[in-house]
Amino acid sequence: MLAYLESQKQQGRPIVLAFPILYPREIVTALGACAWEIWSQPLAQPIGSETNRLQAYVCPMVRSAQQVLSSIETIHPRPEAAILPHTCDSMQGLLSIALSTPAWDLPFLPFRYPRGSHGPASTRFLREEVLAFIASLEKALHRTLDPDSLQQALNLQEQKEDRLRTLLESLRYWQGSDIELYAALRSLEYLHPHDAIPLLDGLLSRVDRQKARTGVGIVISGMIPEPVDLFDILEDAGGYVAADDYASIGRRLPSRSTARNADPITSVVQRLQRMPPCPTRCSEVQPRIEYLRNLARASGARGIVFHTVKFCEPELFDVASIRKALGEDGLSVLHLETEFEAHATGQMATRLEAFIEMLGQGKAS
Amino acid sequence: MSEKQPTGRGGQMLRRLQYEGAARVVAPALATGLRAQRRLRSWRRPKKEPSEWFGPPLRATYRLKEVLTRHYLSGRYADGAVPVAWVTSGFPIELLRPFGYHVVYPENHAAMCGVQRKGVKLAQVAEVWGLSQDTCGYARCDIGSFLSGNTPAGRLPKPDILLACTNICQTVVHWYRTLAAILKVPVFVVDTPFLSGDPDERTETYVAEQLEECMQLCARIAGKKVDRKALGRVAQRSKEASELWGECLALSQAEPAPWTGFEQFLHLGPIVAMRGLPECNAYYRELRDELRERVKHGIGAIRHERFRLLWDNLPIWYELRSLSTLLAEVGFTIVTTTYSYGWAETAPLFDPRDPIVSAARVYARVFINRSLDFRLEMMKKLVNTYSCDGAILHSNHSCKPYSVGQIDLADRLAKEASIRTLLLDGDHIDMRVHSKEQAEGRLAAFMESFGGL
Repeated sequence: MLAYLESQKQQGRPIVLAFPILYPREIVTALGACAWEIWSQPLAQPIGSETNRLQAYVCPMVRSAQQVLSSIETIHPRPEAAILPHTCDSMQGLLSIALSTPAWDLPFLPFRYPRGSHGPASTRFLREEVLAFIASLEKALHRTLDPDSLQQALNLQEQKEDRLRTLLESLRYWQGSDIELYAALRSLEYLHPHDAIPLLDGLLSRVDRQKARTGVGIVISGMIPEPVDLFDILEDAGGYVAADDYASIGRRLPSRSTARNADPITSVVQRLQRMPPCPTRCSEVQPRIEYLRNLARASGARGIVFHTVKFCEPELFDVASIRKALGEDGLSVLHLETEFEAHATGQMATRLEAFIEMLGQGKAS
Repeated sequence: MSEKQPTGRGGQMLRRLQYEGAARVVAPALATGLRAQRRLRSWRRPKKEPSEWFGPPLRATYRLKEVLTRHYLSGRYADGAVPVAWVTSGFPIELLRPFGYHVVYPENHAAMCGVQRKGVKLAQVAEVWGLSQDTCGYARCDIGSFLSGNTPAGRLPKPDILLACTNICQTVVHWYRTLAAILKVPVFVVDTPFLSGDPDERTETYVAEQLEECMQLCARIAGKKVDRKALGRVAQRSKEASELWGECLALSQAEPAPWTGFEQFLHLGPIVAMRGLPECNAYYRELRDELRERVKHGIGAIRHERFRLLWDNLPIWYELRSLSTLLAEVGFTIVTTTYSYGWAETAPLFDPRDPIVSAARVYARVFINRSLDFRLEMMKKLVNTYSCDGAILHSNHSCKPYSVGQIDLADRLAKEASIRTLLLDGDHIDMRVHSKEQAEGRLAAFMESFGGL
């Protein structure tokens, strides 16, 4: 990963760190930069000498982000800027810490998605926020965005997303292991769209619509596919991922649109608004229940596994309501929490195995 | 769960009679009875020895009880009589007053449950329903209260609408949307984007636009027309209330301080729940006059004030008494708190001539919606104004927006204001994540560090 990012930098693409979850990535591309998303601990030994500045009850995703920022001086290639969207109260708190820490010598860019009752005021604000984001990124990178570059970046992003969408819709016919699939998909966190497209084409070539996977299909939702050996456990238990709603993967794919806008900024805004329901965007629960129900129906999944990060309040509120609603439909739900352990815990494994076994027997919890 | 209300025009009239009767007849009669009972008790019982550590109790505390009793008592009969809204503490309730809404504050209610040590039991109901113990304790307590029908307020009226404002946290969006799904009522969220730097016009315009949208919705639900003149009058009262609250707080600059920060938490009730109502202002006038009198006569909240402290974050509601005593025994007193000050800080921004735009300014600039640098400057100002010797920062498990960044704040405040600071782990409502022994041990060590004990 670091070698790849170094090569990007040498090609003249500055590196921009992007913390979870939502930001207009196409703008980073349009400014000729490469986004490097930090969802968990990306480096082997990244923790600098700085002490922990977050309490133990803050989610591990935010704590990982703080550790990365604390060791920013030691990271090569050196990023030129960092994007910190207002994902949750903790991530916002980290932005506040970052802005008041001169030692973290980087331009920090907030991105505020409107969290209100999504009326016309929200759309106007989102547009202004996108424009403000462009202005701060231009300043950080000492570059100017031109509409043609943005349109090209949008096209590229959409080509990438079309492939990813097709792949995620075909998980039932994926000819490989889930662990292999997710390892490849996680590289999208740092690959430039030019390189992401061939990777996705390679993955799509391993989809065989004549050969459906056997076993118990599940929908997986949560933040990120980590620890990865969870997928080995799933497979050994006779299960497979039939649909994906990870915030880092499927939940950032805007729904398809045939509308073409003359103004690329309008396209950026509408793409953000067309993202699947997500509690970190403060979406309502009912559309998310419908969305997950449809994912399960379309993929033939028999249950849903929520694989959330410990202390993630937005997800924890949703899971309670979703569990109730889907349970009434007879769709079983399992909730697993992770703190980014290196390996899935024994308890996690046992619960997942029991869940798949139960689904295999056709029982509903 | 709420019981069935009488329906139809006759039912509504009956309900209205009950509502008005509770507020205007029963509650005042109850207050008179309570006062008479107090007098009778003090006359019959031998005079209590004055506390060794605390000054005489505030008379206004009894009045507070009466004011809040009236509010909660009338609330029992509000649904079906008048429109009812459940709102977050940072919501601009001025919008609702002209339409005659009865307003319920789930956070105030949860605090009341916390003080009475009922929070955990109610939270557990919500946990059985499916909420994780890692979600906000206030949310769990209130959802548990609704699901079980168990409340120290007797009964909470079912809302016609839920109104949340993100200026205090994002959690309220998740909390209120969960409530809306359970209660099957609409929810409107006013988004006040976080201010990483100075306030900017586009953010405040966005907030003002949402307030307009929200006001139209509330008018439709109430079946009334928007009355901007009435709104201006309410804004004027809110401005006065916040200023009166500010005056009450400022009196703690005196040495000894006439009341403690923990008492301020308790007396916050009306400014949070009754802003914009004449009785709120009347109450704070009474409180201010009593505090002035205490300052004039040198009456302190504690008997031997030696060190003065600032408190950051919400209180540990279920430990208010024990912590006050622990501090008072060795001459420590909390003289100011960031949370209480927050309700006075933005008072000058209210403009009755332009209530919507000024409300957008007031509510978007709430200190918890501001950067760490802003919060640090505010704390330094409080330390100086109130002559604080130290600060306790309650690291509150339930409240991420208040707590994330406190490790930095504690260090920087210690260095830049040259005071001692303590980060104290706890939770504003969930006693299960608070270690009393550990907290008391840390507090004792902190107080020892001041020397001379």
